[in-house]
Amino acid sequence: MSDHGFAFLDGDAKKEIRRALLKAVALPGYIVPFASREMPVARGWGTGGLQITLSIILEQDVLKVIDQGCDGSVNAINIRNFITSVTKVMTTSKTSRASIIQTRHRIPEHELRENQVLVFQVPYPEVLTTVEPDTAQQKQMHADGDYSKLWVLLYEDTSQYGDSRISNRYPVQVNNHFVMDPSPIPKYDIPRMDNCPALQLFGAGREKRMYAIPPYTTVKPLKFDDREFKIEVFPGVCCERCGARDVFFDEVRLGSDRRYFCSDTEFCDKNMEKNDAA
Amino acid sequence: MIADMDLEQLNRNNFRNCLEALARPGNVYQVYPYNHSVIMAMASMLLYPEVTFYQQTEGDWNMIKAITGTTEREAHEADYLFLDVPDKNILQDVKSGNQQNPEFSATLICGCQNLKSGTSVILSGPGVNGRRQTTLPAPVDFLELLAEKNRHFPLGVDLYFLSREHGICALPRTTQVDFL
Repeated sequence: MSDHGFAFLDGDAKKEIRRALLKAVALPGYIVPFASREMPVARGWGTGGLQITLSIILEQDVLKVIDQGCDGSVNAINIRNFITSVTKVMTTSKTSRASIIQTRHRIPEHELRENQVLVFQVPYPEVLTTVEPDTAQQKQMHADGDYSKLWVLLYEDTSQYGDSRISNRYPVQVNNHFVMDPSPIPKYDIPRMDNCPALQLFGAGREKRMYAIPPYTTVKPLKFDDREFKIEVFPGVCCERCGARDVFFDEVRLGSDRRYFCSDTEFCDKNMEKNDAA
Repeated sequence: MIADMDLEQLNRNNFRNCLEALARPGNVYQVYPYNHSVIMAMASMLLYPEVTFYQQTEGDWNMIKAITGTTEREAHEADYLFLDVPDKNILQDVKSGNQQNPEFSATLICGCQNLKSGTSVILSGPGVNGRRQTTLPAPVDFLELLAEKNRHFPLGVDLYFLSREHGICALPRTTQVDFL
């Protein structure tokens, strides 16, 4: 901390990120370009989320970092250690105690509340990339509200397979206007973005883009009216550690065995504590 | 606490409250003054060499230009406009962005006496849980013009009201304002 100012980034870098953040909140779902900085981790390893967190964090914040629901994975630990080394903020694994939650590819199981900020690490911010590679054309399509190529993709999947084959990064429409990439979260988490009390910020450092969903904003997956949006379900499965059902599970293969554990480790630990107390 | 803050610390605290205010229209947050002025504090927090500003307020703007490296422009070109009071004539001229780049729009920071009196309105839209009744420190004709500027989303103008009691509340372009 002595070699750098608070939160690593210099003042003008923070102001650039903050400018883009304010525009992103005012334009829900719209991708705002920004001058992404070099960070002491490789691009593609959470630099977008890291830059957002470092630009918003205060001394009194309590930080939680997760990677696919896990507080203890290498990526989460390294990012948490780096942020605390340059800010000295308190950290927690408890979702309910955190004021800023930086996440890779999951939304915590515990219901989020107001005064929390969820910062997503995003690898591919542009939802139209899979159907339109030209970035200028993508921008024009967003301007025109022309998402026909996404609808065609959805139609082809539905006609051939009965449903969309998209397993994660499912396109969502925000505030009935822009269609955006929700980052590679599972479909299970998509309905939990809708009308969420917490502020959701998305950063893609390598792609130099960010976007946001303000609290209490409509977020709907793209879906034909006569097709139900189906999330992942695990019929008959419960967590081997805590016994939880109807949550998002990690599947672990041990030899020919398939074993299931809660993807959100803090949620699982809390259940274990409850079980022990009972 | 305020007296102990350096400028960087002041800026990050003010930014966080500004972000929360924009994300939750109608809610009032605190701004810590810089050089005894909340407008100066906002200018110090928002301005840097890549953006431009226009001002129609009292304050040491030469100092702001010196410490932020920002350029002053005419109202119709400026990214940030700092005004003593909500001014309809200036609002008329400010940029609203374009369909490809709606972020190329202006942000207004309007001073006011307090945030408790003014025009009674109901707010709705992103950031508002259902509908929220509140008062906005601006005349009806100003708010009507703002609604007109924000009619064709994503084009529009984002606005902050800044009170002399150090309060801030925001109206992003997505907020629907209905008069009571």
